[in-house]
Amino acid sequence: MRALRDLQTAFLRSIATAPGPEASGSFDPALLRVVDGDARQAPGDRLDVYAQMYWMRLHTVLREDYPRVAAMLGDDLFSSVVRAYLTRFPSTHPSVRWVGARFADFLAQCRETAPWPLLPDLARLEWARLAIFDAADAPALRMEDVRAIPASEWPKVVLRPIPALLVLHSPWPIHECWADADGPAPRVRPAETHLRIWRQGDAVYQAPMDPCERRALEAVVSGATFAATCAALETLVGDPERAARDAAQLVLRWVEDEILVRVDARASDVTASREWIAVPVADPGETAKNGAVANSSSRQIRVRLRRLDDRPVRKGG
Amino acid sequence: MAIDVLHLGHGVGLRTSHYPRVLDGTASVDWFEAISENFMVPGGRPLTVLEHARALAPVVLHGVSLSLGSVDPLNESYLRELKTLIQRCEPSWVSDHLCWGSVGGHYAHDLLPLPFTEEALRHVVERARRVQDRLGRQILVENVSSYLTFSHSTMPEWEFLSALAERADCGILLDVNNVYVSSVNHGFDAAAYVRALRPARVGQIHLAGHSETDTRLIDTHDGPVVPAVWDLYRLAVRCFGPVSTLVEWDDHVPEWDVLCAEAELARAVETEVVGERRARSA
Repeated sequence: MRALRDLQTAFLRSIATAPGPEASGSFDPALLRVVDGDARQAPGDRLDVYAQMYWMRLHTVLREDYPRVAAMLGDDLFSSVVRAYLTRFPSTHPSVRWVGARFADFLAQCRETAPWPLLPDLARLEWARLAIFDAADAPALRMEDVRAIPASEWPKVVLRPIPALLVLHSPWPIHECWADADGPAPRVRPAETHLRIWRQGDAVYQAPMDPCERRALEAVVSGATFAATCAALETLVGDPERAARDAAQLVLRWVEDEILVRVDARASDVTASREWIAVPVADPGETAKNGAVANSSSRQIRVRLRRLDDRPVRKGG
Repeated sequence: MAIDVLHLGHGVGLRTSHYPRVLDGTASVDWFEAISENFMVPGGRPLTVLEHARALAPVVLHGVSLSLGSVDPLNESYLRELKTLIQRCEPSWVSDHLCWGSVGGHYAHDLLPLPFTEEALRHVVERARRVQDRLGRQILVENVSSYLTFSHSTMPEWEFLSALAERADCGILLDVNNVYVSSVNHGFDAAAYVRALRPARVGQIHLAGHSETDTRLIDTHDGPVVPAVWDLYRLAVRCFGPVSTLVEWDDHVPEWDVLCAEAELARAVETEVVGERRARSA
């Protein structure tokens, strides 16, 4: 037990096997023989300080990372689940930031939390919000950038999401659970849910997406041109003109939420040939008014329809 | 040989509760110490805060996960991320702890104690050298509070720390509170610890509060510095002269003014002791 490797192996195994009063039952006797004791404290008492701190520290981290899951389970069950999690998935990253990385997957397999089938997805949402909080920065596309794009350019414009954007799918309305989860488990019915989670300034937001937004955002995430995004929406709404208008409105909403950056495609990448294009046009007055808190999708958004030769045409013409 | 760092004055740890003051530019202090791992992230608020802090005062990086004493291989991706952060924020210096924190790839996220043996010393010296090579700079190594000692240790902690500094050519971040906590827990002479260190190696001092139980002191960083630790700090300044000093306060973090008042107390102690030294030598 004097060799450094043996000592460290026995030390960590001793303190990380069981929390609370059970901890000392896991202490390696050979390790205890090389720990000094005195009249005030036996070697086991001294080692126990490290055991208690190990569990308390990581429990605290997981409670901070998963406050809604913790609230839903209550103190005792959450502690029990954390203990099982840390035993099954000890931390393997130098930064404590990643201790909870596999918690959602663990919950999906956990028998104790089976009565809460939405819990793994709620945990995924909490983890996603952490990931978004410190995801990479990127200068977001602004409304004036959008206005500066000539209508003739729009078919080949490629808009990409900022790094601080994630899409989460769940058979449960986890955003509602997230909002309500300060008390006991809410009675929630399954409801197919597609969330986008993003950072704007320092704040993390989330919003459910309807099928149109989901389809369009999937296209954007995959690197589609604006024309291809319109085509993707057309498969959903049937009408090319409506698809173009919807796509343009979505772009304006996303620009308000600061979730887009622009990457221009080469002309050869533009495969979709379209007669109609909807040019996103933000009302300049609205932009000035809402620029600082552009997080609402309720704002009036105007869309001007043009033919691809950039001549204004009648709506619905 | 010595550690080549500036005297930055009397600073405080950069903690989340005071981020708003950092962001609005009202956090006035000599210097900040940032926990490296909190800023080893791709982006977002932490890095924004760090940039603002740098605009207000010098910043140093203080790590908790280097695991200098671990038998695991050095974590190369951790070192790469640390180097990226160093390049980004240009800290006045970088420090971590004399401890181990992982084995077999399992991280305890704690500052675990080493036996003070020649085997452990050789191991830590070799790793400290490699870390300094990777980072391209000297590091400071901090003594930790401990709650147990090993019966096969062959030297006192201060001898181990001094030998590490000389053989690896690194600096010492002397945590005066940790010296005091460990001295009470293990019954050694805290003053002897401080006197044993070579002044040229001591690049920074930490001050902090601790808690007391029936049987031991715990390094909780949750309150003001106690009188016995101020006395030990006086001795440290007498021995080393003025050294950049930082107040750590991690739990029950007080209002900014209270935190800064603690740093100002350290300044007053340093001024008083340095004045006494000058008067004696005049």
